[in-house]
Amino acid sequence: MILLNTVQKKYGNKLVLSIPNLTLKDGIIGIVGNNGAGKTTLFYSILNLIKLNAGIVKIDDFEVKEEKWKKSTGVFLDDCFLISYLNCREYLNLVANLYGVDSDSLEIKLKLFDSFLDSIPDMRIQISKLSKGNQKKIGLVGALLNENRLTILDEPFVNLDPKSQWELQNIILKIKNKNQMFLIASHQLDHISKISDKVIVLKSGEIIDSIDRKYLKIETLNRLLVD
Amino acid sequence: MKNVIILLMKNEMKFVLRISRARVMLLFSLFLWAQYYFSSFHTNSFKMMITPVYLSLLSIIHSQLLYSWDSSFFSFMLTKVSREDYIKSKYYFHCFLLLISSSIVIVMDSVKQEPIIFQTVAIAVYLLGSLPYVILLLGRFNKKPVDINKGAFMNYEGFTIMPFLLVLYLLFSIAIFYYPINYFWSESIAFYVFFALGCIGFLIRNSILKLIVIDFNSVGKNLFENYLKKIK
Repeated sequence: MILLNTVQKKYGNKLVLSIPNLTLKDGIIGIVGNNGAGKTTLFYSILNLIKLNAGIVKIDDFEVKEEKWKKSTGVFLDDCFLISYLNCREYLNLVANLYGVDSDSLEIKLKLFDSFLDSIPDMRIQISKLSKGNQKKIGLVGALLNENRLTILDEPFVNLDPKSQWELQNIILKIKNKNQMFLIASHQLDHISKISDKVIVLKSGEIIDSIDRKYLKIETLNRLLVD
Repeated sequence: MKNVIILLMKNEMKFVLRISRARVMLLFSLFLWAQYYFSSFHTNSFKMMITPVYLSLLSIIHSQLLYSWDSSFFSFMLTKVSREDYIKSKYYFHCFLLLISSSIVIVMDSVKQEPIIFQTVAIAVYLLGSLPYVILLLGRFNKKPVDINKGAFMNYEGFTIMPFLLVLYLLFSIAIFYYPINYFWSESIAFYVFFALGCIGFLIRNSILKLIVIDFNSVGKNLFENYLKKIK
C-alpha cells in the first residue's frame, strides 16, 4: 500500500504536484495525464528521489526515506535506470544480485521473457549499442524479473513495436498476483484501459479523477484528457 | 563486507576499464609517477609535502567526478541500492585506489633505496584513514552530469575544483600536524602520529560513514535534481 499525505512539490514558484491525500492499494494502477501533468514527479516522490516541499510518502507503513522498499521494488522510468557500459547479461545479473536472486533462479525467471527479448541478437551486446526499443526491453525486464511488491513503469509501451507492446501487456497480466502493485504511467490509453484495475487521472499536478475498472472506458479517459 | 558493496565495487571497476574517459584519466597517473620516480627529493620535509599527492594519485584523479560519473545511471543507484551501501562502496573503492597508488610509490621508494620508507608508509596510512571521507564530502560539489561517452580531454565539460581542494587538504592537513610536532618534539614522532591517526581514522570508519550517509540523504536528492535539470 502506498500512502501520500499532503504531498507538494514545487520547481521554483511553480507547483508541479499537489496531492492532499492518496492511498493506493494492490493491483495495476494506471496513471494518465497530459505532458507536465505530474506523472513522473509523482513517481520521483514515491521513490524518494526528490525533496518534497511538504508531505510524507509511505510504502507499506514505512516512510520512503527508511529505504525498506528498495529490496522489493522494480522501477523503470527512463534511460537513467540502465547502466549503458554493461552488456545485457551483466545488467540483468547485477539487478538480480541486488534483489538477492541467484543465477539459477535468474535463468528460470528469464524464460518468461524469452519471446519479448528475442529481438536482441546477443545478450553480450553492450546496452549502449542497442536500439532504443531494445534498451527499453532490457530496462523493463530488469524491473519485472523479480516478483516485486511494487513495480513502477513510466511509458513502458513507447518505443516498442506492436508485437512487443502486446507481449509486455501479457507479461504484466501474467506475473501480477494478489500482493503486487503496479504503477504504470502511459499515454497509450488502449493499453492502460485493458490492464488497469484503476486509473488515476492527473492534470497540472492534481488528481482530477480516479476510475475503477468496472467504469473504465477509453472514451471517458480521452474526454478527461482532451477537455 | 556486504555482498552488495562488493557488487558495486566490481561494477565501478568495470566502469573504469570500459569508459575511456575514466581509464585515460587514471592512465595519466603513470606520467606523474614517472616524474616522481626520476625526481630526487633530498629532504624529508620537502618530500613529505609532495609525496601525499603521489600516494593518492588514482584516488584524487578518479574522485574529480565523484557522483557525476554515475549521473547517467544515478536513478538506478538511488532506487536499487541503499544510500549506506552506495556510500560504503564508494568509500572502499577509494581505499582500494589508495592502496594501489601507495603500493606503487612505496615500491618506487624501495627500488630507489630511499631512506624514508617508514615516513611514506606512515603518510599512506594517514591518507587511508582520512582522505576517502574528505573525497565523499567534497563530491557534493560535482553537480554537473558528465557524458561518459566523451573523451578524457577537450570534452568541453571542464575540470572540477575537487582535485585542487584535495591537494590543498593534503598539504594543510599534513603541515598542521607535522610542523608543530617536529618543532616541539621530533620528526619521527610526527610520523608515528600520522600512522596512529590513519589507523584510528580507518578503525572508526563505520561511525564516520554513518554521518556521511546522513548528509548524503539530502545531498543525493540535490544531485539527482541537478543531473535531471541538466540532462533534460
